[in-house]
Amino acid sequence: MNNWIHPALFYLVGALFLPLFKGALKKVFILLIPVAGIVSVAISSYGNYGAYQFLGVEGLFGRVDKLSMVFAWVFVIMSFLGALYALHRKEDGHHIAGFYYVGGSLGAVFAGDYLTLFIFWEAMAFSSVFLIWYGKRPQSVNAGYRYLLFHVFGGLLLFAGMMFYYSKTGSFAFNAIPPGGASWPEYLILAGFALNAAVIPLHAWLPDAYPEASVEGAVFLCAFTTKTAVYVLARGFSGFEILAIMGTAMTVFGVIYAIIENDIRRVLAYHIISQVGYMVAGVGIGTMMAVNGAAAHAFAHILYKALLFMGAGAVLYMTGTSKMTQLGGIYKYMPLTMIFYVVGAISISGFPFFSGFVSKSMIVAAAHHEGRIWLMLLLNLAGIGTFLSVGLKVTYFTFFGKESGDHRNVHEPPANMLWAMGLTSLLCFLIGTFPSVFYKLMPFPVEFNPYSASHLSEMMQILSFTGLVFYLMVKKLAPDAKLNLDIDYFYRKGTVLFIKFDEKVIAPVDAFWGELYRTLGLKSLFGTATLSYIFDQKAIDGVVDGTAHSVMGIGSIVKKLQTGRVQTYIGLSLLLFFAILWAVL
Amino acid sequence: MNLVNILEYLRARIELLKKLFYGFLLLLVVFDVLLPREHAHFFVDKIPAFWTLFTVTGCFILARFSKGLAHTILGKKEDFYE
Repeated sequence: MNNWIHPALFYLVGALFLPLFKGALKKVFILLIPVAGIVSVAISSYGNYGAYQFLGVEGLFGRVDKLSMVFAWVFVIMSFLGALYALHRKEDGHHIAGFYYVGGSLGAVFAGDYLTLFIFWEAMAFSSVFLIWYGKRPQSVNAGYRYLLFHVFGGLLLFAGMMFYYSKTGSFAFNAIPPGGASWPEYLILAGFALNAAVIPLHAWLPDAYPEASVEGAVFLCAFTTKTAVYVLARGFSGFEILAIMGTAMTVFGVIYAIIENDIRRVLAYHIISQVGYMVAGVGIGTMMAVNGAAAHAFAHILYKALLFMGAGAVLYMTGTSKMTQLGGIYKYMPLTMIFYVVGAISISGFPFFSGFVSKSMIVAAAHHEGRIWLMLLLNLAGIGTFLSVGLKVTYFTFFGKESGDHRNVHEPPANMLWAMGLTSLLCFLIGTFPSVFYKLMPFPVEFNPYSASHLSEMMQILSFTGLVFYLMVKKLAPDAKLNLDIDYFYRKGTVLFIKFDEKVIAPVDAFWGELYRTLGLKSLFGTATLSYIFDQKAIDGVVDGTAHSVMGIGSIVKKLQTGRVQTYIGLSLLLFFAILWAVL
Repeated sequence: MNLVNILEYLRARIELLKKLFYGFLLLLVVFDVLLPREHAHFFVDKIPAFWTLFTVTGCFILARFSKGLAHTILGKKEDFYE
């Protein structure tokens, strides 16, 4: 590594020194780590760094090119905003878990081979789970374990895939895979990546775990896992038709759940699936414009989704609930939080001058450009659902609408949370208003003008008429205090079914077997025992007793010789001596 | 607080805001109808005010469909898994 310092190093090593600091100094140190990360990304130049040999396998720690740099940039920026938002947390463990999670993501993004990728991939799963456990409720603990199991399964898919890939190609190099040349090793790798990108039906871990995470942890979680997965998909599997179709399906699937969920953080979690769907679809369409769109949307999405989670987290932190049925009318007590949330909401919905407008539309335009009109229509339908759910429903039923519950003592969150939200809002605005700087970061040259008359007209119609329909249907769209089933039903109820199966099938079989043993096994055992008893008595004892009788016979003769008189003993000894002498001579 | 006062002020004049909003919607439709269409390749570009029609029908169906799912097969009690 001549002139490149791996940005992950600052997070992985820096976090270890965190417990040494106290008070204000600790807070400075927490912010210095991401600042060092930002600086190291800023001074990076393109190239391959940190090649290594391990057991005869060639590895590469640092592939620094345009595609990896887009993600590295947004990861380090997000780590700063996330650290600022979490600055009031007392537990060192929370900060360390966050930094290891960021370090893992950076390591995965710069990895040039599957082995390095796999190591950082697992580091991400095992550090991020702590952010869920720091939710500190019984549900958080359970959801964390399910999250971990799911990601271990995904890691195994990736591991199996890369091993078969190695035996097929003789290399661990992680490069673009042509769609025509892919067979099952590549598809195993794809499945491992897809699980982290929450591609349906491998998505259930996300809405299961993220809403149970700590307020600050959720801000980190929503940014890194799924977007690292988008990066690896863009790197390896661009142009795979299945991704175009599954991605589009995800966009609609996510908003359907976002429309019906009650907990703000569950709405946002389901909505991640929808947003990542846009990126996956962009990767699947695979043209330069579409892959640019996927990278741009990942960048923009990380910021505004984190902003939305910050807003929802602030509401949860101050009121103690994030369920819309228990909120309403709190704009009076948290006006700044409301404004920041709304900035996130209009960014994600794609309002002009905010980031979604310049990123999401690139993917939609790429589908349009390729003549994939059905994909384009469904992507725009998901856009409608986005504004309807995250934009209008959550804003209205949380900050406006009827007040449910007493929140009069509620006020704005701590200053560090407000600053994090303010800075993130500013970035969303800057990206949307000055897209040319943002487009320079993209992997391919961008020839797309989001502010054309036809695109403005399209987006303004979609947004404004969604507003109209919401206004007309507002009573029908009121959230219900209910839980909505998803794929996780099968494995969560599956364990209950397994216990029932155990009670109804395994336990009776076990009991029957025991009974069988008792009746048949024990009887035969008793039978053999009787036989061996008889044998013991008659045969063995006969032999043993016979020997004993002869020993006793000799003993009684010897006994007669033992008179107790010394003369007899001397006499007998002399007799014996002469007998031996006579025998020898 | 200042911000809250502004919002209260606007909420007190909701009828006027509604009228402005309807006027804006009308303007959007007129704007789209007047857009030049000589480069249009696909039906989504050719039909005037296509996205208005698409949004009104799409949004209505999406909302009814999702809520319908929640009220029939998906919705369970909150302690369902406990």
